[in-house]
Amino acid sequence: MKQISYPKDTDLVSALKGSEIERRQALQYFFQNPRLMKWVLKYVQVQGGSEQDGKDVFEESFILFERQIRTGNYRGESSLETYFHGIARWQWVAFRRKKRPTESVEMLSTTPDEQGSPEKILISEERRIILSNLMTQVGERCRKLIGLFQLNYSMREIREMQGYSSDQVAANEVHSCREKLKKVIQQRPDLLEALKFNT
Amino acid sequence: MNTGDNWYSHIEDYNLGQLPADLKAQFETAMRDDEALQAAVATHRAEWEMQELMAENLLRSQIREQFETLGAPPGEGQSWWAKNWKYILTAVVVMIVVVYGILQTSKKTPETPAHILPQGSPVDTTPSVQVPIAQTPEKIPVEDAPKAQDRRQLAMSSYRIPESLSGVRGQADEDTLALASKAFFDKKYRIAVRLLTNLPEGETQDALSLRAHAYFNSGNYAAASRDFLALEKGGIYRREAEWFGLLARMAMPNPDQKTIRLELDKIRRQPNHPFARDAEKLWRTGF
Repeated sequence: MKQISYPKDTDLVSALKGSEIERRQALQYFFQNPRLMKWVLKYVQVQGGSEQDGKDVFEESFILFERQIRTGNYRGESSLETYFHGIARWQWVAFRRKKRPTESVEMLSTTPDEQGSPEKILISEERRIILSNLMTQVGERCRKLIGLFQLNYSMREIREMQGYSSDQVAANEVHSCREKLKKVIQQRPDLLEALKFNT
Repeated sequence: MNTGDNWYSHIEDYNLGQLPADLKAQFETAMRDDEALQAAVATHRAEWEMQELMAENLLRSQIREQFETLGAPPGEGQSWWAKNWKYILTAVVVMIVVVYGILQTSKKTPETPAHILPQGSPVDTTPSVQVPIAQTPEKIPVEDAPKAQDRRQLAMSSYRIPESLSGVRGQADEDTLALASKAFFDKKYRIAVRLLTNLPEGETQDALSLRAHAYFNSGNYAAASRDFLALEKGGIYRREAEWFGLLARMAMPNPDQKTIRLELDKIRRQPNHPFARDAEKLWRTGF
């Protein structure tokens, strides 16, 4: 298998924000580099978790890491590796709290975001439950299209993946799905009100 | 100091935690006095978070795909087939020999059945769910068994769980589709099939796609092929179904090889087809 490497952190950041192929390679790099995915699996197992716990923690960590990069919350004040380890440690604590809420879990001094609070970027479990209910009303096609849009896939990539006839058709489809999403939210002021109290 | 409408341009930065501390404090003061701004912030945040959850679903499927193909240490995270194929192959060979021996000895039934399932049996009530995996190869004619094994293994090695399947994740916990999806990702394929015996209303395409893959992974290729054929008729899974349906038909005993080659050729010749590269790879094996 081809070994992927990113000599500089900025190369990995560019790949994570790049084309579909570049993103997939970046994800592959996380699996190949022993200091990333394997580090998480080992860390979780040393802390008493199972291999599956390690995989779950890695999944959550990568999702949060990717989001931090995509939304510009990583500013290069620490190396990407250190930053990712911080996120994984934090996710492991969150995972244990979620699995065994009564167990006392030590507080970590490091949070996923070294430049500030991660709270705005994290989506709490309570909010996830409420939002998941709303999401079902959007429909499967729109869920996928909006997901691709949110990950900053280009219209050309969306066209190719979904088999649309042109970039414009893809853009129109995404637009109409986002409008549908807005309507779904506006039609449920009760849920919106509930969300205000679940930050 | 910002006033009036200016605050609305800061909503995104506020929700992403990107406002400088002093501006953030001013924004929160403005929000306390302005209910409309408060509502706009809440709506924007809900919209952004829902979009993020949808993006998460896509990423999750990519990560799981990697775990299945690249990241798992030897013997871990592999599919059930990949782990156990040697045992299955041995069991199949023994069974073929036993069945052949019984047939030769008794000479009561000179021919083995030509197909597994009766044609035209209703999709939703198919009894094939109950058929143990190991029984399937018994029904392959003995002369064709090695070739059928090759084809099946080729089909299985070309198979990857598509990312679209993760799109059914994240719904209400008690939802049948969510339960079936969980069973599927826990590799409890028969449970997933059983849960989806009747397709849930409003999520038919999702459910049908999930069931087709569950059938495939449980070794019931005939039923998988039927579900994929239904998906090929239209909808967002059409292109996926063309590819996975082809693999299912390939894995069935006595497939029409000529038709399968034509289908394979058609897919690989479409540069925009999401499985064109996989089809090309399979084509090069000389199937």
